[in-house]
Amino acid sequence: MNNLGLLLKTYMRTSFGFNKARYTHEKRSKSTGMTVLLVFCYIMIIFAVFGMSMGMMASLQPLGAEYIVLNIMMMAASVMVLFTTIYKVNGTLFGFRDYDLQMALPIKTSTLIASRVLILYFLNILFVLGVMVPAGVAYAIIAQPAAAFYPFFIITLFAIPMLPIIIATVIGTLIAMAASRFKRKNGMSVILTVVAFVAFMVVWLGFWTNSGDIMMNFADVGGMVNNVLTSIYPMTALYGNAVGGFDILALVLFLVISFGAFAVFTAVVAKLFKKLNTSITTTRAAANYKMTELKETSPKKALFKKEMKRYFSSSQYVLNTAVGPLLLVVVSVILLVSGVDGFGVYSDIPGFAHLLSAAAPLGIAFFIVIASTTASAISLEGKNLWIVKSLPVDTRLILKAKLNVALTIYIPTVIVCGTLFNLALSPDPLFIVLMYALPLAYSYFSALFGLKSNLGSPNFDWTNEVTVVKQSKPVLVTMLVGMLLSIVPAILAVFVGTWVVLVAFVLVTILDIVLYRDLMTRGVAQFESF
Amino acid sequence: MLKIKHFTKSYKGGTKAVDDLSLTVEDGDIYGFIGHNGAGKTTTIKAVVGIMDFDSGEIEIDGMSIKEHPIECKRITAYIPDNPDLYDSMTGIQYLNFIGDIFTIPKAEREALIKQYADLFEITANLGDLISSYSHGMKQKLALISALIHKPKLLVLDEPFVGLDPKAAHTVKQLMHEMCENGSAIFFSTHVLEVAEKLCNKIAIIKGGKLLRAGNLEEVKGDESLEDVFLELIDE
Repeated sequence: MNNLGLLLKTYMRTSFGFNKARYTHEKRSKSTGMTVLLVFCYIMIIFAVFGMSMGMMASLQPLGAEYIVLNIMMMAASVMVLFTTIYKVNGTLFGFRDYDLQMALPIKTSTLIASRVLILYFLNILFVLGVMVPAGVAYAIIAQPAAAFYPFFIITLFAIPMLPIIIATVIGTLIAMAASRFKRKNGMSVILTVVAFVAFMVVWLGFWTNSGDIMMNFADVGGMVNNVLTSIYPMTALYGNAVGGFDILALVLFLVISFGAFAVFTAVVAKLFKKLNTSITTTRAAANYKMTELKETSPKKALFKKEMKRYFSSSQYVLNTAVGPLLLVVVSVILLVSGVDGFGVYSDIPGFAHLLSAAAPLGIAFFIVIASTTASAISLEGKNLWIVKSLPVDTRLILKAKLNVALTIYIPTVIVCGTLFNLALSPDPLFIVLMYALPLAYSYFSALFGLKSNLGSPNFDWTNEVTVVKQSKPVLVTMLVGMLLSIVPAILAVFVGTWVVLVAFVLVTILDIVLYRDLMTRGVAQFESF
Repeated sequence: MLKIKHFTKSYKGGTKAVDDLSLTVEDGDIYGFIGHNGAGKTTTIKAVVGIMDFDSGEIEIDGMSIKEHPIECKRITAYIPDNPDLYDSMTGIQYLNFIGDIFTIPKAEREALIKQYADLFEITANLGDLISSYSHGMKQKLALISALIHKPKLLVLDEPFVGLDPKAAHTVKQLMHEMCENGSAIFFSTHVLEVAEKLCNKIAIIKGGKLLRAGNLEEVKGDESLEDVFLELIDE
């Protein structure tokens, strides 16, 4: 095996727990259960994309423009890859824990960089396949394209994430370099990444809000949608021409740009890698401290403060878990500014405002439950686990401190956004209350379920925080369960009746009580057994 | 102060890491725990300080079972692992204050003790820096200070001299003597037999999870050097 293969193999062995599972005799039942749940949820998403693609393509069939849906899916996948890769750069390409070890090996720097970028690639390709394959199948069924479609589709499939990864890596590198100039570089990295993230969201959501009418009259203005997509991300045009029109030149250009960007990036960064890594990872030590008065707090508060410090010390952790609340704030502000009319032609549907008010509490809940801070809070103890385990404190306090971090972020978000939603939608009194109560019940559920999942499947041997913050089973399972619990009742509320929202609130509140009691008994025992 | 009675710990799969180990550390003892790599020293130490569950046997600290009264036991114990991974996102002083809060050390006493030990280990100036900027030795010193400020009755250390500069190692030895003169007890593992021979009044030798010999230093080594006895025992 060549060096690149060896580096990738080592990453796989050290990051996903397969190797550990193989060589230790740990209990696997819970982990297996979680894998099954994860696979189930992944399949659900595939079916959802498939159903959505079928619907959209059917409306475009009369125009023979079904390929536009492939373009939309390709762009959506690219944007998601870009979105989720920016904050992975610091920790994967720079400042990874085994940097010293790997740089000391007789391996070319460009090989090392290529391995780090390919790690990002592998982390994204599963997601891209989950979106593009069902869309491609739908296209094959509805459009019944010529045989040439299949090789074009399959070849481009694996190139889709490459350019977004490189763009995200460049942005992530610039953020890491800028942050490294400050004393509190972790805090600065969090701020800069959040700013980039929010700016990106505002532009993105602004585009989709303005194109509300276009989306509604999809079949009439298919071409216009395509023009908009192409103007935002020119690779869409090449992709469309290659897969939809079997244009060899477009295919070649698409591949050359995707893999060329990878090659150029690898070559350029190879020259700067050591310098960049040194400047990003060098810690500042002033060595000028003088003893001053210390502030005393209770053990409970000390544990909470420790958890908050941990939370805000990692841009990966903050970004991955604050994405929902951040997005929610942006959506709430847009809703307040544009009102129900901002939904364009949708607002003409009879009873639309009422339906929106009914589903809104679940909408707020959705943004909160898509990322839980607690689902990786146990694993993040990592090699520091010995500290909390040797402290003379009740384990329940340790777990509660982790739950309280989640609530500190979620409660203000729910109050602010619930108020904005209430102002924008003016619902009836029951829903005014539910606008706060339901998302709070869901927030607590997300915190409790996340912690429970992480206790069932912890990973303390990570070398990169991203492994547990973003790619771990507890995080994915908590996200998917939260999404199902908010999407299913929202759909039922629209079709069956708004009383479903009240039922969902009661059920999740009961789940909260059950989970809390379980955590404070079995959860405590699980933590103490590590 | 510390009683380990018939302690057994097995790995999942059945292999015994430690098998039926019993020993007693009295008040004022400096008890050295020696054995080659993988002998079961760290496993025993982790069980003593309550961070690792065990299959059978009993461990008592100051007459209290670590299984039944873990919080009370931990309150009078300090532990420093062989590789002190501390919270990188905290500054040294934040970490010490965190430990002060958890052990509810009164403010004035906390400030005085931190100053005393930080000056002694010459890291006062570094306390305002993030722990991520510390060297291994500095982390070791910070961990030692965090252990000392709550005045433990039992100090448990895993390879305490690895990574310390000679002056700091000397300071640690002095502090160990002072603590024992004040009635505390120390239980520590080491590979450095010369240190164990000079510092300890009691020694236990472990091999393959089984205790080969334990007791007063003179009884364990007889007329030979500790190194000779150790090599003889582990070669048997």
